[in-house]
Amino acid sequence: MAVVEIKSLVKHYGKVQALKGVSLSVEKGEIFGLLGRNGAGKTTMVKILLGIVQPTSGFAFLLEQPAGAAEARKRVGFLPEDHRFPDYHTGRSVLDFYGTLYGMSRSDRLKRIAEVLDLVHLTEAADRKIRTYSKGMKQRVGLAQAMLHRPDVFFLDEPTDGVDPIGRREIREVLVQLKNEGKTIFVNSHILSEVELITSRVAILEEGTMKKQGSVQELTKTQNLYELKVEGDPVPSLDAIAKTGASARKVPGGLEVVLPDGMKIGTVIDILRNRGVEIMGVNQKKQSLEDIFIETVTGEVVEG
Amino acid sequence: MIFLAFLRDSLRETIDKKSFWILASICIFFVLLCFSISFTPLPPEAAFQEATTSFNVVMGPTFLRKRFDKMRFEVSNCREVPPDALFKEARYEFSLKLKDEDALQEFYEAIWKESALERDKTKEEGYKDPKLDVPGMTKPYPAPSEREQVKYLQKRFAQVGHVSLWIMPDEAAGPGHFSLKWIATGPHKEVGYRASFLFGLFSGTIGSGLQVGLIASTIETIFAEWVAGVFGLLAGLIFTAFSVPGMLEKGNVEILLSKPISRITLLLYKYLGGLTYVFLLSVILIGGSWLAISLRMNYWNTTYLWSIGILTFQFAILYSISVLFAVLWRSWLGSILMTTVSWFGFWAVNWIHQDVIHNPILAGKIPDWVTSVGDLLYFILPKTRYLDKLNNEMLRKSHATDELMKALAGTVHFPPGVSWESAIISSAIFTMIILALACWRFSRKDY
Repeated sequence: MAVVEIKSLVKHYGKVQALKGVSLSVEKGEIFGLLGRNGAGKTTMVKILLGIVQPTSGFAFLLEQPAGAAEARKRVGFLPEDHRFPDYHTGRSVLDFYGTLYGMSRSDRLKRIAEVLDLVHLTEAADRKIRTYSKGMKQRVGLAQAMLHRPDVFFLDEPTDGVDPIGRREIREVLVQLKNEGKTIFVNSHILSEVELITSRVAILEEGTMKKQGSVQELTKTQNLYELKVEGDPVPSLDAIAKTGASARKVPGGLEVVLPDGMKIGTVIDILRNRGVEIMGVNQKKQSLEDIFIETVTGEVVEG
Repeated sequence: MIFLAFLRDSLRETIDKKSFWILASICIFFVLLCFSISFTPLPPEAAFQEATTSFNVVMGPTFLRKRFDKMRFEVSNCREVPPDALFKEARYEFSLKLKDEDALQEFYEAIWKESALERDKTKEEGYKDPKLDVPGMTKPYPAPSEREQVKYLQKRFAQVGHVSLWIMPDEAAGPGHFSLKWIATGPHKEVGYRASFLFGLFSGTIGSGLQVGLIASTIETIFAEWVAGVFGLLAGLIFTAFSVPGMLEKGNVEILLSKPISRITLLLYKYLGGLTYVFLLSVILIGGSWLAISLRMNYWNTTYLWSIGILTFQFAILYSISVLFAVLWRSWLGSILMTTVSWFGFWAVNWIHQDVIHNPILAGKIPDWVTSVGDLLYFILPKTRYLDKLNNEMLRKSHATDELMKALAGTVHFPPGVSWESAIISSAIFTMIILALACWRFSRKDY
C-alpha cells in the first residue's frame, strides 16, 4: 500500500516553478529520504501532502486520501524545518495543546505526553518555558509533538538539526524503532551520512524535478573500482593491465584500478604478482550517498 | 474541547505578556478610583441653598452668557413632609427669597433678558442682541409677571435636577418671596450631596440637587464611553493584535495547519479567544466599577452591566478587521494601524451622519450628494459611535425619569432609523463579512 502517492505534481509560486511534474511513491513501513538543495522543492512537496500549500496541478495522495484531508492529517506527525513553538508555552503545555487538537482525551494526553517527553529526554525541562530551551531541546519538543498522537506517517524536516552527536544518535534510534513498529517515515535532511544510515529509499529533487530515486543500495551500488596497496614498482605492469581492458593509474602507496564489466580483480593481481609486485591489500571502493547527491545535482562525477 | 484548548492558549499568551499585567493593573486602578468616591447627603436646606448658587446665569446663544453677581437667594423653613396617599415619595417644603433689593432687581432683569432671548430665538435671523440687553427697558426693571418669575425659577431648579417642584409666589411675604414643595424623582429623598474623591483628598459639593442615580450614570458613562470604550478597547486591540500574526509565524503555522483542524475553525477559535480576553477585561473594568459605585453610593442599577456586552461587541467588530489584516499581511503593526484607522473612519461616518447630515440646524444646507454618500456609508459601515451613544442614552434613562431627562436637556435625538436593532444588526453583518473574507483568504493561502 502506497502511503504517499504523487503524480505529475506541479507548483508555481508566481513565476517561480517550485515543482515541475514530480512523481513519487512511498510504501508503508519505509524510511524514505528526500534529498535536494535548498529551494529544490522538498518542503513544498511535503507541504502539499499536508494541505499547507495548494498544488497548481497534478495529484497527491496521503494515506489514500487527497492531500490535505483532515482524516489523513490525523494520522500524520509533522516536524517542519525551523519550527517555532509559541514561547509562552512550556514543553508540556504545548504538547497538551497539540494533543487536544488531535482529539486526545485528557488522560491519554497525560500518559502520552509523559511517554514522549521521556523518549526525547526532556522530562526534567518539561515545565520550563520553551523560550528558555536550547535549539536541540526545541528540536526534541518538535519530535515529541510529531510522535504524540501515535501517527502512522511522519514527515520530518531536518529532524537532527541543532542536536548534538549523542542526541542525533538517539533520534536515529527512535526513528529506526518507529520503522520497526511499521511506521512510515519521510525524512528531509542535509546530513546525508545520517540519511544513508537509516533510510531504505531516497529520492533526489533538483530545481523541482525528480532527478533520481531508488533504494540506497541501488544508488550507492558498488562500482568496479579497486584500490590496491602494493610493495614494489607497479608502473611496468600498467601496459599489461591495460591490455586486459582494465585501466589503472598509480596512486601513493599503490594502484587504482577500474575493471570492465565481468572482469575479476584477480586477473590484475596475477599480472602484478607475476611481475614481482607484492599485494598488501585490496579495497573495493563504493560511492557514498553524498557522492551520488553531488553527482546528481552538480553533474560532477565524484569518485568514492 | 478544542475551543477550550484555544481559550487556554489565548489566556496563556495573554498572561505571559508583561503588558497584560500593566493593563490589568490600570483597570484595577480605575476600579479603586471608583471605590475612593463617596457621596454624603447634604441636609435638604443646605442642598437647596447650594442649588440656587447657579441661578444667576442667563444663557444666550452658544458661548454667550450673563452672570448677575448680586442675585442671591436664601432658603429657609425647610421641613420634610411625610408621604401620604397623594404623594408616595418623600417631599420637602421650604421658603425661597431674594436676599435683598439689589438681588431682586437683578432677578427681574434676568427674567426680562431671558424673555427677550426666548422671543429672538423664534426669529429666523436668530439672536439680535449679543449683549443680552433688553431693548427699550432701563433700570429699575419692572417686576415681570408672577408666571414669568415662577417659570424662571422652575427652569433653574430643573437644570440642577429638581423637576418635581411646585413654586408659588408668597404674596404675604412680599415681592421676591416664594414657597416651594419638592418631591423626589426617584427612590432617594436626598436632595444634594457632598462628594469626595480619593478617600477625601478632594471634596466639594458637586451636582447639587442631582439625584444619586444621575451622578452614578455620569460616572458610569465616563467609564463605558471613555475609560473602557476608548482606552480599554484600544489596549485590547493592541494586545490581541499579536495573536493571529503570532499564529501565522513561519514555523508555527505549518505545525498548526498540519493538525486535523480546519483552517476556518482555527482562525475563528483564535478570534473568539481574543474576544474572550477582552470580555474578561470588560468584566473586571465594568463589573468592578459597577460594584464600587453601587457600594459607595448604595445605589444598585444593573443597566450599566450591559456595557460589558456592548464593549465586547464593539471589540468584535474592530477585532475582525485586525484579524483580516493579520491574515493579509501577517503583521501586528499593520493590523493595529488598519484597525485604528477603520475605527476612526466609523466614528467619523457616524458623527457626520448624526451631527451634520441629520442635524436639524443644518437642514437644507448640505448638498444632496453629501447626504447620499453619508447615508450610504452609514448604512454599510459598523455603528460603533452610535452603539456608544445608544448605551449612554440607555444608561441615563435607567437612572432618570423622562421628565428629568427632558429638563436636563440630556435626551439625545437620534436620526430616523437609528436604533439598537439597526446598529447591532448592520454592525454584526459587517463583522461577519469581514470575518468571512479573512477565513476565505486564510483557507486559500499557501504557508
